[in-house]
Amino acid sequence: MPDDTLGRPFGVPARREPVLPNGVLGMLIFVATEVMFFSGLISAFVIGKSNALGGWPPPGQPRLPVEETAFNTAALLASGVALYFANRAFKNGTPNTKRLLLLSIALGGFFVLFQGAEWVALIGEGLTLTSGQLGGFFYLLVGTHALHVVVGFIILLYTYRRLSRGDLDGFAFWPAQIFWYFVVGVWPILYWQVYL
Amino acid sequence: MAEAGTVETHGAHTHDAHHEQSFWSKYIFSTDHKMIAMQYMLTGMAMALIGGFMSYAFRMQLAFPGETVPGYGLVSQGEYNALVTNHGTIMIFWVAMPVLIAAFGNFLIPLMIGADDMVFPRINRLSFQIFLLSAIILIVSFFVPGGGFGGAWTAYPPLSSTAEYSLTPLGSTLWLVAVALEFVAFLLGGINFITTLMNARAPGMKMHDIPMVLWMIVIASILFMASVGPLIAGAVMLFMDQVVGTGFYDPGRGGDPILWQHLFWFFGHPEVYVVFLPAMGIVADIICTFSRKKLFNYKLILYTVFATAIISFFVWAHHQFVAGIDPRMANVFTITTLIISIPIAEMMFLYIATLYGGSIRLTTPMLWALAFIAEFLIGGITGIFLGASGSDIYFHDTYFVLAHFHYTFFPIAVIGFFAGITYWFPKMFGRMMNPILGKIHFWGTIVSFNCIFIPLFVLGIAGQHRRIYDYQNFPDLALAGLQDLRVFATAALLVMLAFQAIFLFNFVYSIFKGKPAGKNPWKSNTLEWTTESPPPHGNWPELPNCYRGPYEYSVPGREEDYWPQDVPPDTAAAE
Amino acid sequence: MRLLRVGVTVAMLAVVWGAELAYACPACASPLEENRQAFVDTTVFLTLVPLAMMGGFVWWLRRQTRQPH
Repeated sequence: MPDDTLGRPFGVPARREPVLPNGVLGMLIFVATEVMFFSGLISAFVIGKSNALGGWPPPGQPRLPVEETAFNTAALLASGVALYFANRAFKNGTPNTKRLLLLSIALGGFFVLFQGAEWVALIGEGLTLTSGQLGGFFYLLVGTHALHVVVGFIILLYTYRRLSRGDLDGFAFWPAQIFWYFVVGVWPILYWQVYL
Repeated sequence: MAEAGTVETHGAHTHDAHHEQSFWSKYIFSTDHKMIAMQYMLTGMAMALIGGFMSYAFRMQLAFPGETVPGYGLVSQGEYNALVTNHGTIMIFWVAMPVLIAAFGNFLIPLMIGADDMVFPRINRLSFQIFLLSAIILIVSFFVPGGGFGGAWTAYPPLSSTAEYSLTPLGSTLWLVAVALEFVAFLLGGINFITTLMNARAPGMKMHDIPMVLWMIVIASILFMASVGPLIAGAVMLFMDQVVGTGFYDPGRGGDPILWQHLFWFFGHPEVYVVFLPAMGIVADIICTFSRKKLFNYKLILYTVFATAIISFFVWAHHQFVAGIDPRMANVFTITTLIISIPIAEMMFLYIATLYGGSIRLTTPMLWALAFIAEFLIGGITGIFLGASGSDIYFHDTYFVLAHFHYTFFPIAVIGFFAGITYWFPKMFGRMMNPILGKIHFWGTIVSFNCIFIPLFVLGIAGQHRRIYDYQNFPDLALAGLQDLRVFATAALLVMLAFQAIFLFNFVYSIFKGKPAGKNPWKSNTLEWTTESPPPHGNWPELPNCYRGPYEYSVPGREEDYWPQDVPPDTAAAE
Repeated sequence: MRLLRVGVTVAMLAVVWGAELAYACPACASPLEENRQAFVDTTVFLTLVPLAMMGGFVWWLRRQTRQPH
C-alpha cells in the first residue's frame, strides 16, 4: 500500500479486521470484572481468617470435607478439559463435538449436585450462614461460585441446543467457553483457600 | 450476551435504519445510542435536581438550626442524616456517573469514531433500564418506614450493617440494592464502550486519531471495570449482614468493620478518576476547538492519562489514615497520593500550553472549560494537605475535606457537564443555546459556587466536623463568627440554585426555539460534526472514513483554520 | 555517583519503613500482627491483579497487531 509523507495511505483507508470479535472481547472484559469480584471475596476471606483468635479453622466447628471435594474438583477440571477438546473437534468439524460438549455439561451438572449434597450434610452438622465466620465465608464463597457454575451450565446447554440444531458458530461458542474456563479456573483457587 | 452483538458495525446498517418507529420503540425501548444517551442525561439531570434540593434542606438546617425550611418542613435529626447521605450518593452515582460517562459516552463514542451504533445495542438498552430501576429504588427508599439510609454515602459498618444502630432497617437495604444495581448497569455500559472503541472505529482511524474525550471515557470505563468487583463483593457481604444476619463486619462476632472500608475505597478512589477523566476529556476537546490550536502533545497527554489510571490503584488507603490501618501502609499511600498529583498537574500544564498562543474564543462552553481548569486546581491543591497522613489526622472528617472534594466533584460533575452540554447541544438537538443566558448562568454559578465552599474551608480549619446536625451544642463551634460563615454559605447556595433556573429555561427553550445550528456550528474537526444535527437513526447515510488526527486546527497552508477528519487528503499538498 | 543515588534512595525507604516504630496513630491499628499483615497482603494482591490483567492484555494486543498476517 503506498504511503504518503504523513505515513497515511492514499485513497480510501482499508477496513481493519478487529483483533478480537465483539462477543469475545465483551466476554473477556466481563470475566476480568468477575476476576476482580472473586479477588475481593478472597481478600475478604483472607482478612476474615486473620481475625480468628483461636486459629483457623475455628475450633468447635464442623470440618469441611477436603477429600470428597478434591474428587469434585477433579470432575470440574475434567469438564473444562472436555470443553477444550470439544472446541478442537468443533474447529476441525469432527462429529465428536456433540459428545464432548455433552460430557462437559454432564460433569458441570455433577459438580453442582455433588456440592448440593455436601451442603446438605454440612447444614446437618450445624454449619450455617449465621453459625460463625467459617460458615458465613464458606457459603458466601462457595455459594457465589456455585451460582456461576449454574449460569455457565445454562449457557453451555444453550450452546448445545444451537449445536444440535446446527446453527452454532464461533461467535457464540467462544464467549461461552471463556466463561466456563473462568468458572473452572477460579475453583481450584477457592478450594485451596477455603478447604485447605 | 453472545446473541446480543448482532449489529455489524460497518456497512451493514441498512436493515433498520430508515423505517418509521412507534413512540415506544423510539423513545422508551430504543436501542439507539443517542436516545439512550438522552435518557441517561435527563435521568441524571432529574436526579441532580433532587440532590440539589436535598442540599438546600440540610444547608438551611445548618444555617438556621431547628427552624422550618420553606418547601421542606422541619428537618429532624434522622432526616438530616438521610439527606446528607443521599445527597452524596445521588450526586456521585446518579449524577456524575450517568451524565459524564453514560450520557456523553453513549452519545459521543459511535459519533466520534464513525460508527452507526454501539456494538451491543440491546445490552446498552438493558444497562439504562437497570439504571432507571436503581434510581427508582433509591427514591423509594426515602419513603419506606424508618426513612432513607443515613449512614453516610460511604456506608461504614457497623452503622450500615446493623438496624439497631442505623434505625433504618429497610432504607439501608434498599440503598445498598440501588447502589449495587447501578454498578451492574455501568458494568454493562462499560463493556459496550470498550468493545465499541476497539472494534468499531471508522476505516483509517488509528490509535492516535481518536479524540481525547473518547480515550478518557474509555480509560475511565476500564478503571471502573477493574475496581468495581471488590466493592460488589463487599456489598454482597454487607447485604447478607443486613438481611441474613451474618457477622462479616461485626467485631463482636469475629468480623472486621475495617474490611468494608478496605473494599469500599479500593473502588472509591479509582471512582474519583472514573468521573474525573471524562470531564478532563470534554475540556480537552473544547479548548482545542475554541483556541483553534492542535492539542499540545497528544501522545504525552495520553501517556499521562495511562499513568493516572495506573497510579489511581495505589492511592485508595489514604481515606483510612485515621481508621487504624497499618502505619506501613499509611506511609506508602502518602507517597503514592502525592505522586498522583504529578500526572494531573502535567495534564493541566499541557492544557494551558494548548491555550497558549491560540486565538481564543470565549464562548459559553469555553468559559466552562477554563473554569474547570481553574476550580479543579483549587481542589487538587487542597488535596495535598489531606494526602499527607500527618496533616490528615487534623483535617480528617472536617469541613476542609468536604470543601476539598466539592472543589473536585463540582468541577467534574457540574462544570464538566455544563461544558459538555453547551458544546454538544447543537449536535444533540440541532439548535444553538442562547449564549447570553448561557454566560449569565455561567458567572452566576461560578461566583456563587466559590462563595459556598471557601467559607467551608475556613470552617474546616476551625475544626468543624462533618455530619453534625446542630453545632449549637458545641461551645467551640457555636461562635457567632462561625455561624455567620454558615449562613453566608447557605445564602450562596440559594443563589446558585436560583441561577440553575436560567439554565433549565435556556435548555428547554433552545430545544424548541433555538437558532438552527447546521452541521458544524463550532467549525470543529471531529467526525460527529460531519453528520446532520441531530443525527438520524444510523448516524450517517454512508459511514465516514478517517484521514487524520482530530485536532488539525490552523494548519499552515490551508484556507480554513480547521481540517475535518473525514476530508480526503489533498494529494497535491501531501507531495 | 549512581551508587550514591541508589544508596540515598534505599536509606530514605528504610527511614520510611522504620518510621513505623515512631508512629503515633490516633486510633491504633489492630493488635493482631496477622491481621495487619493480611491487610497489607490483600492490598498488594488487589492492586496487582487488575494491573496484571490490563498489562497482560495490552502486551498480548501489541504482539497480535505487530505480527504480519
